[in-house]
Amino acid sequence: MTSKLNTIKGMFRNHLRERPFDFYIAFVLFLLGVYGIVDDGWPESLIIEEYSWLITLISVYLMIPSGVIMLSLTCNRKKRPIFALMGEMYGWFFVSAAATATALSYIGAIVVSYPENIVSWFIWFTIWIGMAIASAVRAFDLHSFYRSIIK
Amino acid sequence: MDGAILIAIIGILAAPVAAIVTWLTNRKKHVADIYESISESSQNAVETMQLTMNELRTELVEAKNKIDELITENKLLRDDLVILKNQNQQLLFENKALERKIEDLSQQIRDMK
Repeated sequence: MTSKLNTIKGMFRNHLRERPFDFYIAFVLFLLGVYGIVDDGWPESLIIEEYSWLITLISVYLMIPSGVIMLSLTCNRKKRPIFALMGEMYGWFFVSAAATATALSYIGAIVVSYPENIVSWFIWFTIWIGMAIASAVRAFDLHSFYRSIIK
Repeated sequence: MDGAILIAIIGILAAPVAAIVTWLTNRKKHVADIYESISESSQNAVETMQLTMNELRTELVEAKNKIDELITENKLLRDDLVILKNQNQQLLFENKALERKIEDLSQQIRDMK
């Protein structure tokens, strides 16, 4: 029990403290993914029966990569360098794709019908576009780092 | 939802899957590259440490030589100081002897008067 606690403390002390906000964002995205699977009516702007599978797919895209990002941020980088780098890089890549897809589905929803609350629509759209850009930047940053270390 | 947007969404969602499949296909090569890079960087770090240690060793030897030189100079200065002290004492004796002679001569002059 004590050794497990020390391991967890070690994770927080050595790895997680470098990127706590990345871990937090990944955790929030993981929760959003779980919520997207549990609640079919979310996001509200996209309640179209026909495309509920799309929301489920995006939720899975958010949930699994976020879990991988959290694991890669907390794993021992010396013991698992490949997973630490690739897990985080592809995790953010998947999150970027999911966020872009969600933003596009918001555009698709506004094409079909004008939303009741345009402010809410705009806020959510901005959040997802921001998330897509930020995660893409992080993924490409990690990719360039990977390119720099193998050359 | 517009068909074009749906196709764009599916395309975007497929992109990372395609990327990860490509990576998994060439996984062995990529993993080998990463481990090679890690090993190279470790080797470079060891070489850098060795160079630094050698430089430090050279500087330490130079510092030791300088300290030896200073110790030798210090010994010479101490010997000179001992010689000067002896000379000073001798001069003090001579001075006292001269004082005594002057007193004797003064006494003789007073007696003669």
